[in-house]
Amino acid sequence: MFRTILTKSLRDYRWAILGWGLGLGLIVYAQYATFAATLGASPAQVQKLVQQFEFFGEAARVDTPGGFVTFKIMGVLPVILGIWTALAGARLTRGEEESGALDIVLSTPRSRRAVIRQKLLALATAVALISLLIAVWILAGMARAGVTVNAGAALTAALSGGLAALFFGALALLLAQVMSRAAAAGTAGGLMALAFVLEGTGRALHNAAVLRHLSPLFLYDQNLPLVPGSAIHVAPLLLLAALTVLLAGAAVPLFVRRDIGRSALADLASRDRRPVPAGQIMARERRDLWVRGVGRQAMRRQSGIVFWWIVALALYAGYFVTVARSSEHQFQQLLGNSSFAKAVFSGTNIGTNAGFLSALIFNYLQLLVALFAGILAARWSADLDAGRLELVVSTPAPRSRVLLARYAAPAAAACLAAGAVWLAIVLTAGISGFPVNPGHVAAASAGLVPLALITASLVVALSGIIPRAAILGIMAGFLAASYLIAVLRTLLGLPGWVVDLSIFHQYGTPLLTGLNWISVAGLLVAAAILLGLGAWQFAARDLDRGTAGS
Amino acid sequence: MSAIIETANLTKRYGRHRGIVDLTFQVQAGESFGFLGPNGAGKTTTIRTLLGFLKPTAGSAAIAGLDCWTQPSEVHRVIGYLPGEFTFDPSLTGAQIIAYLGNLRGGVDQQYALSLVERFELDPSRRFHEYSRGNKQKVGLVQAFMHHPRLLILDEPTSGLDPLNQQEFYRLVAEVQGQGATVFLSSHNLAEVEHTCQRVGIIREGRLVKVDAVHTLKELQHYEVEVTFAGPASPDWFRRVPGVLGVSLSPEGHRLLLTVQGTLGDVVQEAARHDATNLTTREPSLEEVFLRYYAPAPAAPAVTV
Repeated sequence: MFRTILTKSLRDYRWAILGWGLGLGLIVYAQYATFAATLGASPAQVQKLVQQFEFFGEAARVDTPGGFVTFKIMGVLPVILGIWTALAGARLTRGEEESGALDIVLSTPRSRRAVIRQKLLALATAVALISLLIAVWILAGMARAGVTVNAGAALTAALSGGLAALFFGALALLLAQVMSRAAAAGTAGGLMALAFVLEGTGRALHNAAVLRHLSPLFLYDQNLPLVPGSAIHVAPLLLLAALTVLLAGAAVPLFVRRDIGRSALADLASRDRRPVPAGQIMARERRDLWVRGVGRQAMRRQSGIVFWWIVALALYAGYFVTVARSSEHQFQQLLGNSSFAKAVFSGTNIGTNAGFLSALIFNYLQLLVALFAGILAARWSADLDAGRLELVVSTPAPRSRVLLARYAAPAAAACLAAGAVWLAIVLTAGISGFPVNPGHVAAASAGLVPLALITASLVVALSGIIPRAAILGIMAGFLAASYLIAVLRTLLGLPGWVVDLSIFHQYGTPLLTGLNWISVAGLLVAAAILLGLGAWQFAARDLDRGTAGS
Repeated sequence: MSAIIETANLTKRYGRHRGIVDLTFQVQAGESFGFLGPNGAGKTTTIRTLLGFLKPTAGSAAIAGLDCWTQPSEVHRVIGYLPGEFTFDPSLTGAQIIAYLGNLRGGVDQQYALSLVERFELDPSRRFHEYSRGNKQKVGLVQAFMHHPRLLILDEPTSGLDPLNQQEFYRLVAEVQGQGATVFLSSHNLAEVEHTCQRVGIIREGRLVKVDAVHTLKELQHYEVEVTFAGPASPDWFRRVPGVLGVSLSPEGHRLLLTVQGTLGDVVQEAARHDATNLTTREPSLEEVFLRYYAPAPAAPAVTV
């Protein structure tokens, strides 16, 4: 595996390939597996229902397993996988560059062009392998649902999803040629979210259909290979591939010609900067509130990512309040106490305003906020892995205090996110005249915080024991399993004790029923135990030198 | 003087891998102690155990009477530390790192910190990832000295510094020593040790093989003696002479090359007995003395000081 840059890069991706391929594949399979149980409702009712949710995916032949899976998961699959490709694309050259490792690689008799080409090829191969794993799960799902096992359709669906995700990886790679790794990943992620919103809005609102043409995901959605009788359109896929190659290709000459270790934007920003005496700089930084403690410094460091996540979560909540307002009556007439709707929305009666909001907003927000906190907490693991804490721990601050201060950053971010969601819902509801109970919205928003804390605590408890990549995999597995148990519990008929293990089941539906204080206390105790474990193992074990000492 | 660093049979193993074994030594308050050894000998492991970053497998380490593992916060109040290689949040500027660590540590003399920045000609406005290795080292030095610590633990402190800044560092060490601080530094640079240290400990393969004053080590050194004779010479003449560790005959057969430890009186007498025409001695450099200790020869016995 160490013979070429290509094989070395593929080796680096091995856990991601397995994690994302198996994880996403399992989610697709779960949709197939639960389809039969959802067929209780009449096909016409199902079709009408899902058309209201076209924002998430194409609603074609949803009365068939393939159509149902396409609607439920295939629309968002490129975006979920795109989170990884955007991170990997931004890191492709800039990651090793920022750690200083690229200098050594480039000092070997390999041209820069060869280096980036091989790394790109490795990323594309990794995405293809992930897609193949997903395709295998799709085939298994087809067999489970009792439909014709169509390898061509499964491969087309998975590979086109992978291609759409790779597009955002190529975009991140291009952006990383002019900005830092974190900025490139963040910007590519933001553009991906925008592309998803444009495509979803254009799909759901026919008078805004033109918006779809602004999104690359429109090209992906032109093919619905899992929908029975759907024709394959090669041209949109070729165009998407061409755009991906164009973005990646544009990154190559930039990488070949630019200074290694510098970013064009940073150079631009510092070009007109006047030299300031050292005394002034030192005095200014001493007054800076954000360097006065470990927690504040961690918050400052993650302020960019926290800001964009919170904005995205608030926009998400606000957007769906607007959608709810515009289709409120249709839903109430259509659904009532539909058993199908209850099954799909985890037993929630979406025939009421609160039920509708609970299903549409908090059903997904609980997962997003937990993921958000976990990603923020993983920075602690990254710092441990890199040996960045050596100097901080050499100060008189006890290790346990350092850890708790760092933990405060994701905890505070989760509280801010909950507050922003509450504000977005209450304001949007007020403006659009959609009646909501601010107290119940506050309960539902506040209930997100324990989910975030338990996820962050899990990450902290594992940090330093296993590498960050493995921790992220375990966290993703934990959240996916927990979410699937909560969402599909009615359909799967799982035993009560299994369902109780799901943190999302413990969250419940506070918008309807208020906070279940016993569940909240249970989650907080579990979070405290995991955090205590993390603090104990950090205080009691050897501090690794990390990559700084390697 | 009292001991500010005290280790007793300090041992650290990484699973089946050796770290350090049975290290027993003391560093007196106010002295400057050099810690020498080849790569992988255990210098950094010793330092990180003193800092309380590593839990000793056996034995103990104490700084200012405080146990390094169980009382790390109290220990850290006493010291200024420069890691051998360190990394930091790459987006922070030098000034922010110094301010941040100053806030965590407390008791920083801001004027002094600024004077250190100026002495090392560090540009504090640049971000950590933009710094060269030498400039990163300057940030590390500023944060290690800025709070006037009683004890400085410096792991390869001049690594990456240019000669001018190395000289500045030596002056700084002399200054803080003059003010009563203790300096414990690890180094590969022998000139640096001669400049800055009164005593030296040599570690090889995890064991302390020698602890002594720098000048004593030089006294223990061996001499290379070349004796020229008018006629053919025989190595057997010197094999039993006290102090002669080795003897070899030159190819033309008129010169003998001797390795001698201690005084040369017996060698001179024996040379005179065989009508030597010339005798020259060469004093090996301090480097050769250290190399002798470093060499992976039969293990020297561990020492206790």
